[in-house]
Formats: sequence, structure tokens, C-alpha cells
Amino acid sequence: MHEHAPEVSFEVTLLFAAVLVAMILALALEEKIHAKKSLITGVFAVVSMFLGAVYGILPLGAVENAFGERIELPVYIPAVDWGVIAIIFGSSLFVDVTARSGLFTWIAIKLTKASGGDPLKLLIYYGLMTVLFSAVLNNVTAMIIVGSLSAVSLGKLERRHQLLGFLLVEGLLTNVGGLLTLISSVPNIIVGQAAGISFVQFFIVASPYVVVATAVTIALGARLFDIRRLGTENEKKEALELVSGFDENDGIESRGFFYFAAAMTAAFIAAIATTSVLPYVSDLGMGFVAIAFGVAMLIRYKSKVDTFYKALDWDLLFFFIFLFEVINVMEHAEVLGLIGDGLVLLVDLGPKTGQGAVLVAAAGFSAVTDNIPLAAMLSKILTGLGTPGDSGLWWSVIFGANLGGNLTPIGSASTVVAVTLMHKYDVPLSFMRFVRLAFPYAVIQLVLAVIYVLLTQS
Amino acid sequence: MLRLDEFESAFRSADKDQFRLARPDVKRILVVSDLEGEEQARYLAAVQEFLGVLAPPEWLVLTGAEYTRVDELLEKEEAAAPDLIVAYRNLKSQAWRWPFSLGSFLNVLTQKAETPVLVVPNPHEFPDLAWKGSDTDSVMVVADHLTGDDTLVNWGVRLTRNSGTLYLTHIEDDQTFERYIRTIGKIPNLDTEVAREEILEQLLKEPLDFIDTCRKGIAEGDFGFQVESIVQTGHRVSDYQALTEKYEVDVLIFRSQDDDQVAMHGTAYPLAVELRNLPLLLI
Repeated sequence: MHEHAPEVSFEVTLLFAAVLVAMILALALEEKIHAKKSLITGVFAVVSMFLGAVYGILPLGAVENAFGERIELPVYIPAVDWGVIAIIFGSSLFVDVTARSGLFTWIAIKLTKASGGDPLKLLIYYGLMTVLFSAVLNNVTAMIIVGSLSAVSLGKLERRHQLLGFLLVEGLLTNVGGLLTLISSVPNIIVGQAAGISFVQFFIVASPYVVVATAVTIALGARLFDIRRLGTENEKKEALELVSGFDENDGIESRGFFYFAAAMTAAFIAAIATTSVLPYVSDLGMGFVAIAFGVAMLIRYKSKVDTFYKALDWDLLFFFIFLFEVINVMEHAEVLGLIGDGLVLLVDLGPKTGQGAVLVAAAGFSAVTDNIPLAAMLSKILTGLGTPGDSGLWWSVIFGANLGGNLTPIGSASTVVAVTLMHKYDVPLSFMRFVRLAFPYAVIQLVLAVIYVLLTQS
Repeated sequence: MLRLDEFESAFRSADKDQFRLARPDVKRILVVSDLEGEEQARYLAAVQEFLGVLAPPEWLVLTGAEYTRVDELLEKEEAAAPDLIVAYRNLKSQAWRWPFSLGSFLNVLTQKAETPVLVVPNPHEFPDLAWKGSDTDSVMVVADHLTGDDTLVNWGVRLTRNSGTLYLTHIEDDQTFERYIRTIGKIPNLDTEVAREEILEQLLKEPLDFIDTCRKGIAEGDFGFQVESIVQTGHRVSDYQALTEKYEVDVLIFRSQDDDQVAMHGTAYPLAVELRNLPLLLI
């Protein structure tokens, strides 16, 4: 353990709070200032650590390891939650290599063909696929796969005019699907790790809500965008002929690797789900499992693994690393304590009202800024407040941080992908139009979430 | 991290043109010549023998005496409303002595008429009419335009005799390809070898995929002929010349027009001008 840091004056806390607010604003304005997330958090990590050293609030010096040995370790190493980084790194690697097998395109095209080209069936199938892929892979990957398939298949079916409805519903469903499992979104991983929620426990709590919210979102999308079933036999025949032109086997380079990838995906989910009870593996954690599966998949491409390393989203990984640095400094500067005092005010509104207020507040913040720093901050604060693992407040943060992303086009990375696709295909959608269109869905999802959390987790 | 374009490309690649079997109905054939008398009779008999697989069509004849100008020829063609026109290069001209053109009549006819034109060797240039003995049991469909073009393949199906072979071919022009690769080679952000390998693979995969659907479609017709595919890189005109000789092709089928231009398209013109001793079906 580090040496105890000195007392921090309120002025110093306010100074660091200003640094944190500046970082959150910069992240919200990422598109405007044309800077990558990792650079923004990197700059603030450097500045806050330097200021931390200047004001003497950082626990510099040797640390004690699990064997009681004192070792020299730079303060920025233990500041990072490497377990979270390992899960993101390993999962990204696993998903990238598995995608090469053609498995995801195979599933996507099979469902497209099963719809027979009927628009309503397509919306339902694509909606379910979005939720499934968001849950198993991650919400950005799900949006990329289902969104690009929607653009291609609706183009083929000469229904490009319905692309807005499809992409909007899919974008909103990525954040619903992102609630299904512990590894479906980064806020889940961060909060779940902090609260000690297991994969299975997470799934049991979240899945009923996901089922209801998915059904409501698809039904509302079909109604608001007038997406109906095909009327005549002739229309059905024509649509069927058009979608039958898709070849689900086109992307499969090797049948063996395809089956291997399918088996490994199932094994990956099973291993992640049972990490907490697997002997030895439970000590190593989910990050180890994710990296182990990523490495196992790389064996197939053993001579060109470097191409996969290059393809990793280093911006995202360094964003997290720098973010953890900033949050660590903010913890020592007692900024998190200050925010925690505000959170306590919400919690003190009463067991039910407080829980609902935290959920709505988390959603509101998540709508205008990145939900990851929000989740990281709130989980640190809740840990600091000694919140028990079975408290409903953790779930308020999880639901709020995930669903808040549906209120604005910049609320989550997957809605940003959806909007990017819309712009690519000349679907006009301003910031305010997105908010207007998404508002009914987001409000219904949040109301359902509040009711659900209060009913099941109070 | 997966890229947006990665999956769009995968889905576009998986979206394949499907061949639909629809053999053209040929009821009326217009035979155009600049001959008279016995020469005309021999020529007409040769055409009828060559196109025996289309029997029994109605034969219409336009001899040299029946038109003098291009507009007259077009008017008579329009009035006859044939399903197929048979003509040869350099009608009403001595220019067949210099093998550099189609002649004004045929040039206009191929571009103006909606009907496919079978260009047979000029009987003045090849008076033995040797092509008449070949009986369309080896038919080759050309195409840098093959992918998604059902019409070309359906004409191939219509003309190939039951015991014969229909060759579906695609030659990717290597000179054009190399020019692009040289350009890519000057762009530091693009890996030249990866580009060469993957672009070429995709360029050849698309016609192969389409030919695969053609095979399946043609199989539904239960015809007796074989279907072979030839997909390669090369120099189109010389390679087609070599292929037609190698496979003793009786008729070569290709598209002569692009929807967006009035002139005969790039590969079609040199093929039409240079393969002078082989019947060509221009669509």
C-alpha cells in the first residue's frame, strides 16, 4: 500500500474539480475540437498528475505487494484498473479475429434471408440481432455489423428511405443490449467489477428488462417509422428473390476455422459466465479469460498477428488508461468525495426516490458526456461510500449510464456509429432531430428502467 | 477494432447477381447483304445452315439492291422488326480489303438497332463461307460486362447446340490493372502487395460467382450442352483471339453498347474489327 497522502484543502479540491469539468467538456466537444479521446484524457492525465505532484496530494513512493514486499512502482501504474483494460483488450482481439471467420456475417445474412425481405420482419430480426451482438460482443461492434447490413440490404430491397428508422432503432437497441451481460458494455464491466457482481447474477437481473425494452423499442420503431409487412404475394416474391441473392458463405475462408470460431465464441461466453467459479481462473479474473481467448484465436493467423495488433482500437485503450489516471488523481484530490457528497444528497431522498434519482441523474450526465468516466467516477464514489454489493444503487448507475446514451447522438459510441452511417448514406439528421426522434424511446426505456430497478432492487 | 467499411464490404461482396434463365424467342431473322443472284443465295443458305439451332424462324432478306443509304437500311430494319439481324462488315464498300473498320452500315446498325446483330465474315473477303459448316456447338460469351448480364448468357444458351459447350469467359485487362497497381505503389498509405493480391482476387471472384449462378440457372433448363468458365487476366483482344482458336469457337457473343454512350464500348470495337473470320453476336 502507498503511504497516506496529506490532507487536501478545499481550494485544491476545487482546482482539481475544475480540471475534471474541463476534461468532461472537452470529451463532450470531441467532434468540435477534432481531437481523439485518448489525447484529450492524455493531456488531462499529464496535467492532473503534475498538479497532484505540485500540491503533494499523490501517494508517491514505494508500495507494498501481496507478499508484503516493498517495491518501487510509479504512481501511474497502480492508478489504472488493469483488469478492465485486460477485458477490453482481450475481447477486442477475440472479436476482431473471430470476425475474420465469417461467423458474424453468416449469422447476419442467414437472418436477412429468413426474413424473406419483409421490412417488418427485417426490423425485428435486425433488432434482436443488435441486442444479441451488443450483449455478446460489444455495442459498437454490433452497430457496425447490423448497421452496415441494414444499409446494404435496404439498398438491395430498394427501401433506402426506411434506413433512418432502422438505424435509429438499432442504435437505441445497442444500449439496451449493452445491458444484458456484464461484458456487454464498459460501464457494466467497471461497475460490475467494483460491486463484485458476477456474470450470471448480472444476466439474471438485467435480462427481463432487456426483453421488455427490446420489444417496446421495436414496436415503437415500426409504428413511428411506418415499417409494415409486405402486402401482396407479388411484393413478397420479389423481395424474397432479392434477398436470396445474398450468399452467407461468401465470407467464409475456411469451414474448419468457421466452426472453430463458432465453438470458441460459445466457449468464450461460457468461460466469462463462469469465471467466478472456475478453479484458478477465478483468481486470474475475466481479463485473463478474455486475453486467453484472444490469443487462442490468433493461432490461426500466427504469421501475421501484427496486423491484428495494429487493428486494435488503441485510441480506446489509451483513453481508458489515461482516464483511470485522471480519476485516481481526482480521488486523491478529494474531488470524488465532493461529488459523492452530491450523490449522498440524491441517495438521502429516500430508498426508492434516491435510487430513481441516481438512475435519472446518471442517464442525464451520460447523455451529454461519455458514460465511461461517469461509470468510473460513480463506482469509485459508491465504493468510497461503503455501498454494499447488493445495493440497488449499483444498478441505478448501470441502467442510467447505459440508457442515457440514447438521449443524444453523442451519448454513446454506438449511437455515434449509427449517426455516422446515416450521414454516409445521406440520411439527413441534425443533433436536435436525433434528440426529437429518439426522445420517446429513451423516455420509455428510462421510465421502464426506473420502475424495474425500484421493483426488483430496492 | 472492426471498421464500418469492413462489414459493408463483406455484405456487398455477399450480395451476388443472380442469373435468370430466359432464352430469347427468335421468330424472325433479317439477313442483310450487298449481294445479288447466286452469291446472295449461297450466302443466305450459309446463314441458314449456321443458325440451324434457331429453326424454324421466319427469314427476311435485304439484298444489296434494296437499300443504298444507311437511313434506308434502318427504316427497313425497323419495319421488319426482326429478333435477330445477320450482316457483315463493310457493306456496299471495298473497305473490306483493309481490315480496319466495320463500315458505316454495320457501324450504325449495331449502335442504332435494338436488335442483336450477328456479324458474319464478309463473303467478299472470305468467299469460301467456311464458317457455315461450324454448327454453334462451341459458343463463347465474352465479358468484361458479364457479371449480372443475363442477356448475353441467355443468347449463349439459345445458340449452343445440345451436344456442344458454352464458354462463359471474363478477361480482366492486365494493362489497366497494372496501371492502377503502379499508382497504388506510389501511395505510401496503401500496401502495394496487399492491394495487388486482394483487388485481383476480388476482380476475378465476382465473375466466377456470377458464372456459378449461371451454371445453376442453366442446369434448370436441362440442356445437353456443357458450361465451362474461363476467368483470367490478360490482354482482352489477343487473349480472346487465342481462346477462340484454342476452343474452336463458332460464335463469340459480346455486348457492343453501354447504356451511357452512343459509341461502341472499349473492348467491343477492336474485337468486332479484328476477329474477322469468326461469326460474332453483338448485343
